[in-house]
Amino acid sequence: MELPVKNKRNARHVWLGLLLWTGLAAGLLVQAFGPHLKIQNNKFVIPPSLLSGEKEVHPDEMVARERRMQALSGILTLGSGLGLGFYYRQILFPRATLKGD
Amino acid sequence: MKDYNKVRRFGSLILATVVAILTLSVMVHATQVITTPNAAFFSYSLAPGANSAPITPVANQSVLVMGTTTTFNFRGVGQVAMLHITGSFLEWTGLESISPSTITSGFSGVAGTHIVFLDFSHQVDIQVNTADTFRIHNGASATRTGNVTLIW
Repeated sequence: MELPVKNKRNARHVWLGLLLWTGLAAGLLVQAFGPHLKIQNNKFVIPPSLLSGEKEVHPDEMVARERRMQALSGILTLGSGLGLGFYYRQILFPRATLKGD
Repeated sequence: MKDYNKVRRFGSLILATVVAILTLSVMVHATQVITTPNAAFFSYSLAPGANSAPITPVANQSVLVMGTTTTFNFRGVGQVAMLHITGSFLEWTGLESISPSTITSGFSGVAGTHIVFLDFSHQVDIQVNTADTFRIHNGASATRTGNVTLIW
């Protein structure tokens, strides 16, 4: 009766690890493929190619989008990073864990 | 077995360091983006008679639009506070570029209406493009370069 419970716990543990790695990867992907507006002198620099085109430029929407993407990326990456640190605490801090035990 | 554990621990520490560095770099960038004020900087380089792409200012709140021309012998600077009422008009008040620097004010949704000059000889200006957008227009006979900043 004990074995299935242990297996269940192990499976949950593995899934948590996968979830954390996926979260970290997602955060990094959002960061890598985000709009990436350059910041210079505390201002968002709109690419000059946009101004020489015909399409309407919406600076407020561009800035808001950039902020949303960065916030999402930051939350995913930081949350997953901290989670992974806790998840692998026994490997990263073996002595501290032993003391705690 | 001891060696294997050592190698495993070393690998884990390297992986942890990589994750920490990536997380920190993402956080630094995200913090910078989130704390930067609502200000957009546009550089322009316009051929004679050319217009820039239309720029839509944020609606229903004051937007500071300031611009310069940096072409040698024609340098100037002008600014207006602007209000955008969606689908209706742009309204503005501010100061023309020098020579002379007079007050400019008005409201319009008609394309080509002058808003503010950005150069010394009053040939480069910001104009109404539509009721919702404005554009930078070069009325000079040579290329003019400069930049425009929006703060909202």
